[in-house]
Amino acid sequence: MSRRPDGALETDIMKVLWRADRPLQPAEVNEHLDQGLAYTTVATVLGRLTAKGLVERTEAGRAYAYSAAVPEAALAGRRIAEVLEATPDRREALSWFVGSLSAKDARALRRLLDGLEQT
Amino acid sequence: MNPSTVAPLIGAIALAIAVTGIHRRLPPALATRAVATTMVVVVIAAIPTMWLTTFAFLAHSPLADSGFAWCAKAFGVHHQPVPTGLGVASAFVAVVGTWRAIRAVRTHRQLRHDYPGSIEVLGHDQPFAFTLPGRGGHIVMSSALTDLLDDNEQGIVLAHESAHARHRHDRFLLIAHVTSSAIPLLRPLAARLEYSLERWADEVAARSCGDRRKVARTLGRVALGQFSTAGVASFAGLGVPARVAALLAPPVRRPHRGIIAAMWLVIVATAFLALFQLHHLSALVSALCPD
Repeated sequence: MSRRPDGALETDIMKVLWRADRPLQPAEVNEHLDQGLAYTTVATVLGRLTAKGLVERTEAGRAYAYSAAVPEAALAGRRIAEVLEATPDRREALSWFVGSLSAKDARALRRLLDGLEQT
Repeated sequence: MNPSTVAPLIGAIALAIAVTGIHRRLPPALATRAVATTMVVVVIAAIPTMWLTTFAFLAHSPLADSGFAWCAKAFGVHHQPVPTGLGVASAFVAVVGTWRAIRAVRTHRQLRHDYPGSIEVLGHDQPFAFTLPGRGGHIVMSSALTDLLDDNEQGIVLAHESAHARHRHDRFLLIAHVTSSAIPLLRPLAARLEYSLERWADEVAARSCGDRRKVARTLGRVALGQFSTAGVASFAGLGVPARVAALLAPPVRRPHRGIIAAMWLVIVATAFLALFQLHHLSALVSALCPD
């Protein structure tokens, strides 16, 4: 199996938790993932997600059970907020409606639009 | 230097210059594909040359005793000394380029959003809209953008962004970033690829609203509505003014079929010439696996 970035596993685990109708224990999450991962890998990532506040932990017998603490759309919003604060190479990976303008671009654009209004 | 490693590279560079010259005269979707293919061809032609030069240089450097001699033998470059300047430059670009290309892929994967697409309005005081990479095509608009634009204009923005998602423009964008990270000389071509992608989406939006001038006006309003000009500066002539001008001009007509066929023939021929480079790797493979 090829190595995947941690972010991808975090997203996969969040998806399992969003689809689940009750809190899940790490072993159950691992079963749903069906990626042949070690129990400790899943438990570690669940711990990290808890620390980030994306997942809630409740005691269930000897182990903990986990459920999603944020709705699905909020995660996207959080990643987007990260993007907006981030370096150019994160911004470059997105398709933007308009890029930023230089002062010269802005002047050229105003001229074009003025021409458009007059016709 | 061995002519067989340089000839494909010269061919690929000539192709890159030619495509740079004609991309605006092609309809945007065709221009996008031509530029993206050219970028891949340049990479295939340049990467083996760069690593061969690097290995040949290392094999003749004082480091040779520390284990680089075998790779020079494996590549068949042990009899070709490389000037120090060229060797150092080539080693630098090879290593830094690989690292940057890996980082570009990683950024793309971190931002990927594969679950079914949706539209999200994000509270922000700058007007902007973008599409996340991935199959999902998740579109984000800022609240400042929805305040600035009326329903029709918002429809234009959405048509533009869904075109990015539907035609998987994130894949072309990934090609642009990975190849231009690996080979910085490709940056002007990457800027042209990005421009063609935006033009493509602009034309889709224009078709869906039926008025190119309305799309031009919407682009202009959003661009001028941003109060900061910081961020990634666009290449001269490839920014929003150029897109607005293109929308106000008559649409680019699709060239005659024969011309398109000839263009692809040249691209494919150069690609084959570049692929010929890969035979250098067979020497490495046989050195690693003697059987």
